[in-house]
Amino acid sequence: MSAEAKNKKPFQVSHQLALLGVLVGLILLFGIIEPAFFIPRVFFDIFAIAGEIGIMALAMTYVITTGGVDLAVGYNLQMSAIVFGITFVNTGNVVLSIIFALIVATLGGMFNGFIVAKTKIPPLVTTLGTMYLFRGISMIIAGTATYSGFPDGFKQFSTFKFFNAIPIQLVYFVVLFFIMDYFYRKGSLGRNLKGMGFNENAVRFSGVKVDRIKFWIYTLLGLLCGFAAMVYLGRLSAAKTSMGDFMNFQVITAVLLGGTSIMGGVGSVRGTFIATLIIGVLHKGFSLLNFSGNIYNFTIGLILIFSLILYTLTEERRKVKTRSRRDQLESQTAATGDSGSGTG
Amino acid sequence: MDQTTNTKNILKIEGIYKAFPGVQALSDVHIELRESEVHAVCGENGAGKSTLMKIITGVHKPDEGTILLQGDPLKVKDPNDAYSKGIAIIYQESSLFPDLTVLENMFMGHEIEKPLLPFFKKASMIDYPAMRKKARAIFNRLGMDLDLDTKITNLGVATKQMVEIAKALSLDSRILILDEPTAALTSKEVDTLFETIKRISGEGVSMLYISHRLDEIFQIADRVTVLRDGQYINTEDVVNVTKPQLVSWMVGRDLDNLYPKEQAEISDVILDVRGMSQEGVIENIGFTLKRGEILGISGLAGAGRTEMAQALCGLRQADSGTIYLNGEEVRIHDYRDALDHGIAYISEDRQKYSLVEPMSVKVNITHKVQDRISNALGIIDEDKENEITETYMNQLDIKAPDGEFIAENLSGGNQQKLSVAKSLAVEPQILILDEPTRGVDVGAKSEIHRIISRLAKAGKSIILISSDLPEILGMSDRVIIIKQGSVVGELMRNELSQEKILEKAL
Repeated sequence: MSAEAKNKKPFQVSHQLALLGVLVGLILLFGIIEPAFFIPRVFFDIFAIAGEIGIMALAMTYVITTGGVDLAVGYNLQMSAIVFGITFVNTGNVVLSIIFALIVATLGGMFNGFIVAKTKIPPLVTTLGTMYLFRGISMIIAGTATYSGFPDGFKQFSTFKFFNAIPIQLVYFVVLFFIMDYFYRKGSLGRNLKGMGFNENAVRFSGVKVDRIKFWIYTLLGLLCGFAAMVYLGRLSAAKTSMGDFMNFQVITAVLLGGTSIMGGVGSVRGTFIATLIIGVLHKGFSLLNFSGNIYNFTIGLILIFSLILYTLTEERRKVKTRSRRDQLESQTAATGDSGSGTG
Repeated sequence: MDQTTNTKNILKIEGIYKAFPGVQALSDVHIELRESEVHAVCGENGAGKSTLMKIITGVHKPDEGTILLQGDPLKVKDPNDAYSKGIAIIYQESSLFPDLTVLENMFMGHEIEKPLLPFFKKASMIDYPAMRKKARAIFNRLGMDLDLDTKITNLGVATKQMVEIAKALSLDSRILILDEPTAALTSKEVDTLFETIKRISGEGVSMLYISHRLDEIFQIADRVTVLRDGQYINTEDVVNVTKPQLVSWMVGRDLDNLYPKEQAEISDVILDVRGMSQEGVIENIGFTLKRGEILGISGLAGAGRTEMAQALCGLRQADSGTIYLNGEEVRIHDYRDALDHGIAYISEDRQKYSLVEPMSVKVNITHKVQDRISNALGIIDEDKENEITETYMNQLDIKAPDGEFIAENLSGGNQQKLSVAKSLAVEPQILILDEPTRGVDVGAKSEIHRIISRLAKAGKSIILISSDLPEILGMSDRVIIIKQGSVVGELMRNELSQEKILEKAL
């Protein structure tokens, strides 16, 4: 399909290539400044960090594509981790703790999804509210307590390496990526998500149950927050209420940097994948160079703003193109004597 | 031709050429606008009307040609510059600030000021009393009484338009360009607007009047200029031209039939709606629809036509009512159910409710049938998708290079056809078309009518909702008239007339 390539792909492809370029450039840059960057352990850490953020970022791509957003993700993860910790400390049963933690995270996502689907409250405001709600729940349950002493079996969740080399986080991330990318590009789900981002009414008037889709993508995001919490916990082996702070912004930044529009409609799961790796590299690189967490947060903020500006610029260009394209087509059909045109 | 009393040209446009990349939008176009005349400019879309107006108001620069304003060459930098030279354009969409008052809007950018203190000329304040006085005088000229302190957002479309006209007059505009001014007005509002137009043209203001509605041109214009494919075709006094003549100038051929109705075989009742109500919107609506029949639904805008159709399709929740399809009672909870029962609805507002414009033609055509072209996991079968896209692009003659073409790049008429295609892909038994030709030019209109006829002939049942009476008369086998949410009358094709419908609808 050469026509396909000509018609809509150029921006996406070039954006992803640019992201890949940035990724490789950053790795080289950190490697030159600090040669210790090029050891396998560092890459293991990068994948660990990227995996945790990425699990949430993939589902967040779905949500943002519809024109929504979930600010509560980091705190849903926190709440889920606390529930795991307190259940484990009280029962000593890992399986039960995992089930509880996942249920709570899923319920958190369902709550978001329910409000967003059933009311007209904008997702930004809704999840700003639930963000504090989830954080409040964690604080009420746990206060400043730390839960630890998880069994080794549980830690395998995030420390296991395939062939002693491939970190399990990477496997989670990649497998999820392939599934979610496939549905996004090839499935009617992806179409509906994008359509909802552009024009929700038109999708509803196509007989699609828009509210149901909204409910389930927020729910999916909630479940994956719980899953990310388990992976995170296995690595840190302690649950406390500072977990997941600012993680919402890292997740959203990964999605927006990846080329998904905050206005909805335009998006790419592949872009999110690469952008998540970039954030992982930055995180590890900064810690190797002994930069403080504040500089990291500052940089994330900068990238977030940059992604938003980049989007508005390309959007402006697209609109100009559309306008001239339409003028051109109309004049062309007029010139060939066709009358299949309408109001202006 | 020169029998009018005043033949002095105020604006003379000569030999305008304008090319956009790949197309010649205007070539050798000329128009002479006389003082105090209402000069209609018509032509199909792409004929170059908009481009010409944009050149007059300084949005585009012409490649060649001259514009003379009262004999002097006119150079306009931008629409504001045109405004200050006495040329004002009033667009279809309001350019007023909704949260400011009528008075503030009228003088936005050219407020009357008075010095705050003597000797300090720069320190001035807005002279509200003077502005008020001037505004009142202008509204008097327009023959209307309006509270100057009302916020624009509280006004109707028609009144907003008056404010725009008043604004132009406050700047002493001598030339007014009206771009499809009646598109969103009711017939009563149109009458008021026309009175105003006549009044101000009597006072020496000249007007260029752009409209798709030919009847209006005969009602209001003194002369008419027709453009086609960027070329000047003809200018004629309106009294010397007939409607078919005008149409043939516009489309370049004789459009013998705007309503190409074919004889379809009308058989048994397929749909029977009884006692459908929604509080405050529709009341106890009942009607039947036969196979192969085109049922016209007439009535004033806001009478409940659209609401009735949407309630039937589950797009709106009715409080009560039963629907029998092929003799069996069916329950329609949401639009999905309606589609599954073979009832498809095409909204009157394709941009808002029908098309996802930034997505491809292909995605739009197959949007309602995505379940049929995808497997259990929702993965789309591209072969089936392309097949459906191709079928309906051909069937409705949608002018796009291919299925990947982005819908918002299509012209209005083609977008409308795309909107129809989207519902046809469902292969419905019953197709509800809500204002299918609104804002579409004559050529595309007759094409859409031909499609409707063909569908009825193929055994589909059509519900045609339209405010365009000639369309209802020309296309329907039977008409029901809705007034204030209830069915107030039913007419068969052989007893149809404009008067009978209006009598019941009003």
